[in-house]
Amino acid sequence: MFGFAFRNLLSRPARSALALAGLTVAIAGMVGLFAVKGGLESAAEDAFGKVTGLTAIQPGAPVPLLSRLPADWEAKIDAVEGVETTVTDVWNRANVIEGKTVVSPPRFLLGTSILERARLRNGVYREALKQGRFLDETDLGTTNVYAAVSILEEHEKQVGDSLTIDGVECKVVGAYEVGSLFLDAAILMDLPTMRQITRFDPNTVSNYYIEGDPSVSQEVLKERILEVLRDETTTDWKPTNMALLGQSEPPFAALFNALDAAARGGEPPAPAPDTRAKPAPAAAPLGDDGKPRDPVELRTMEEWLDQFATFTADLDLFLQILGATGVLIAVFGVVNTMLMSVSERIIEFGILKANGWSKGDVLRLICSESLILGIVGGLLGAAIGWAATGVLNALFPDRLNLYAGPGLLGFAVAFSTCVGTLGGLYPALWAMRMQPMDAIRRG
Amino acid sequence: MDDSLPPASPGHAGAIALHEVTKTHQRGQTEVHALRGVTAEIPAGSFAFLLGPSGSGKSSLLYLMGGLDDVTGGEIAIDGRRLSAFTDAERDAFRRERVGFIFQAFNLLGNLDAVDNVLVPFLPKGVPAELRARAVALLEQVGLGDRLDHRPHQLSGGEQQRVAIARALLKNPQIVLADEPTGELDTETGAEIFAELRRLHAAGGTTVVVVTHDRALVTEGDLVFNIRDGRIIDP
Repeated sequence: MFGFAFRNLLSRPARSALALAGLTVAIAGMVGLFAVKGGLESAAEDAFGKVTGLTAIQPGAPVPLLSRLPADWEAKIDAVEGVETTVTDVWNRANVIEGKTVVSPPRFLLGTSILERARLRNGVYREALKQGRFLDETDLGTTNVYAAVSILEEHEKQVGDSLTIDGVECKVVGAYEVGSLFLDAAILMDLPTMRQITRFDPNTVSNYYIEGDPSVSQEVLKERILEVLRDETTTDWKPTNMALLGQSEPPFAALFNALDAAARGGEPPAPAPDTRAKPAPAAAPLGDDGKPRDPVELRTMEEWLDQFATFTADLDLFLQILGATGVLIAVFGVVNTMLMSVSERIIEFGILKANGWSKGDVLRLICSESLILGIVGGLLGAAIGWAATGVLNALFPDRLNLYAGPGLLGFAVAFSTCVGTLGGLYPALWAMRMQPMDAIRRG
Repeated sequence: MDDSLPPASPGHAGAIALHEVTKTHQRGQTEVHALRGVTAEIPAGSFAFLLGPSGSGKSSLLYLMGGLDDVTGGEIAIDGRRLSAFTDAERDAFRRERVGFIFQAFNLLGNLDAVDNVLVPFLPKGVPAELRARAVALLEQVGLGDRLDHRPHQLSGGEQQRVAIARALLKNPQIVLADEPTGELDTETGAEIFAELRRLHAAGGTTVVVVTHDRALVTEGDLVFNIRDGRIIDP
């Protein structure tokens, strides 16, 4: 039956090729679209998988870059039983590097407490050293930086060269490459130096990175840290009043200032101090449910991944709609092809029925033809989609991280097979309902 | 599911009985009365002709006998069993196993070679090697031993009709229904094809019903039904 169906398709090469092309393009497009999401998830897993400690950030803040916490918590957290190392981090976007305004891909400045970070058992940046050395005590109070290889390559720099960041000349002492699009975008430097360069509020930090004793579970550690910080006061992060912009400035003021500074080649203005982070009320604040509210969020690797999944849910929906639209068009293409093929071959089905073929046999023949289209279209589409993601990743290594894994490719082939079969079903039902004589007469 | 027909009564395999058969086609708003009450008996093993001019209803009657179409009124019985009582599966099996059709336009499948065209009735159920060997033997028997892998467009009209005959005979049919089998062939080729049908009928005792308007094909001992305007008339 399959051989017969295959020969039927070959006998109409142009029509079969067009139906196949429609299906192939749709499946390749679907693979490409979902490779975007797969790439993001893969990058997130790559990045967060290496972050084995707890990250303390402002409640509700999506990422450390937007988080603001009081700057005097390090000692309190460090004193908690089970905490081995507490690293204080300050994040900011690098606006101008080597005189070029940084737009895409974004680059980040990470001011960090060097000595503490050097003490981490699992230091993701330190362990990803490619050239030079990691930051150490000789870098305290200097403008020495430890930068991602991709940033240095972009500006044709190497270890030992100077790198001008936001108007300040820094010296590159080391380069790292984690292999994650999210992590290979930072320039690490001494925390006080970074504060000076970006005029970051001295009373706040972005986050604390906490590494605990391996014998203490992260849940227990979280409870202990929250207990210590219970009476601290912070405000929840809200998207409408992004901490980076500050409350005293009108919306987009910081952006306009940055653009203005970039146009003049000068330093971008620093963000206004975050006055909200100042402890004010005496009583412990209450959450929406009336219970005492945690002053900080302590996120594990799994929670970062969950948070990321929440962010990508909308993207997923969008991709599904786009993918469904493409596939729907492909289905119409297959239905159209099979309908035309069937209507052209009505006499053939009459002959088959005259020779004892049952309605089911005719149905199976037509569905076999569309099934073959579906399988071949799926294989071609998956292969092309997979190859295209590889090419795009190679062309834009700093901007794209598309990932079409075996699961996605397998799904694409299976989906195309179903789509192909369903596309042939209506024409097949139409053909099988015809009386043999009607079919022969029509022919 | 066993969809084969019950075995025909011994000595009656291939007997066809027509009783007041009517057939009306709907063409747009118009009703066309192709058959207006045909009653006849075709004994098993006979060589019968349906003679008449174009549009007389003879082809319609032939296709009704083969279960390719449904009667509007009356009954057709094969070996005493009414066709209208057949289930769909029984009707498929009847066409696949007991009736061989030969069409004026050959009606071969362009994508299949000669052997596979002969095997068409059995493709969905699978073709065992011995059946394929029989198909080859039949094609050799009708003089197409060197055309086995040829497709219809590579064969002459006479060769295509021989393939159609081999297809009809592969199942050892009890009934062969031939609709103008020489209509598209030149006189010499037509005569050869018809001789082939005669030879096979003589060898197998199959009931053969031929639709034609060529009286010259009729020989002594043949059963002849003259049809005009949807009715059987006296010769």
